[in-house]
Amino acid sequence: MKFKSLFLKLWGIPIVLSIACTVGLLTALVGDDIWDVLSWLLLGSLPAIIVYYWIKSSNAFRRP
Amino acid sequence: MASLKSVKRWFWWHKWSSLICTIFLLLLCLTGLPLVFHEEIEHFDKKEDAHAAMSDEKASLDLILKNGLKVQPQKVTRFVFWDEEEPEAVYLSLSDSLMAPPDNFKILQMNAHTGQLAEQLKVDEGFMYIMLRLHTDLFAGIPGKLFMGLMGILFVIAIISGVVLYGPIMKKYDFGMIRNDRSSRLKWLDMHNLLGIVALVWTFVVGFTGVINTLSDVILGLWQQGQLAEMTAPYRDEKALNPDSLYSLDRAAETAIAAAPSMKLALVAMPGTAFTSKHHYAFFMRGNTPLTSRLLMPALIDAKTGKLTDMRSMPWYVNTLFLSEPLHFGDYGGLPLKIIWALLDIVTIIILITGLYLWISRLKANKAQIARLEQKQPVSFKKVLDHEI
Repeated sequence: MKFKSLFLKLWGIPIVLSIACTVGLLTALVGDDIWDVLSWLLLGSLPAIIVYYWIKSSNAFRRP
Repeated sequence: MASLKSVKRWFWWHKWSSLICTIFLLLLCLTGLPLVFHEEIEHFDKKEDAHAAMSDEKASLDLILKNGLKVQPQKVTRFVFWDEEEPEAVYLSLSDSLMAPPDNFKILQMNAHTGQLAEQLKVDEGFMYIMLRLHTDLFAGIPGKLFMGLMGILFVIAIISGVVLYGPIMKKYDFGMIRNDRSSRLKWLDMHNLLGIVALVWTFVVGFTGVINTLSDVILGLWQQGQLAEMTAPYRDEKALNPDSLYSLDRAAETAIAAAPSMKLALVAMPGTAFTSKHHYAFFMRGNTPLTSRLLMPALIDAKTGKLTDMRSMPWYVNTLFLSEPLHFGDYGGLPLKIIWALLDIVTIIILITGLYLWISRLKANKAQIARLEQKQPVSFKKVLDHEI
């Protein structure tokens, strides 16, 4: 039980992001229109997450 | 639980695979950035002819062939091809002879409705051409391509070893932690880890499909010797046809389309060129879904009688190459996908630069430590280097 939660704490988000990225890469390949949009949302989440943590860390730093 | 020994081994792989490929990967990322938008950039250069589509009437392909040779009377037509993004155009690839080297060609863009010359494309000059050559083969032809493929393999090794190291490094920390308040080394290490793990699948897919693309010449060579040789085997000993008395290309095209009604023409290899026999037009047809439009199906039409002699799906290794192209180029989901491609390309550049920075700062730290230790007491280098991780 403990092992499982440690594993998920470490790898949970990376696994979710990897699945999102894989699905995003494939949807635009197999379909058009709505599938393209799905692909943009899933793949676009990756840069968004980087920016989110970047801003979060620099805010934490500035706080007195 | 990873032992210290195995972590060290993975670290060694991560360090050396990335150190060797970093400078080339930086070049690939920088030149790749404009290449992602090559269609937009090329269109920006050209003045758009918005009223070009005067009618749905298509000019005869035989007329287009004839008009092309009027422009370049000394040359022969090797390929006729279409671009899905340019429905108003038919392209001709002209060379000095049928068996001239692959890089000997001029491209004529013909108007699909009038059959007249629209433009002689300048394919081997300009900014985008330089970017493309630096990206694909460093101006060194097939050896340069394969060298870039090797760098791509090292990049893939660096990604895999990096993921393995992510576990032991991040074990005690939360996802996304960036230690901004400590040394700049820690800050960039955290940044390197965060960007690397978030962009993981993308960098892996683009890196791996890039390696497959460097093998394009090898893969097409295998296809020529394999499936194409099989399809043309009954005609192996036939004499070359007189280029002036070939069966009508228009009627041959009708036969090809009738055999695969749901498909569209992508390319015709003229008889005697590398992708057909001396006796056949090879019509390469593409499917009509986003996925199958990336795959080609060759239909061989006898250029004397106009009969369809063979039509097959291409083998898995050629289809792998065809599917690797969109996954590497990012050109299969409109402009938003290209913008995401560019953003993740920039993320990759940051990963490369932070990785390089971490290695240099580690080197400096080690030197400083050795200097300190040597002042205090003579100590062997090996002992210090054992503490490297």
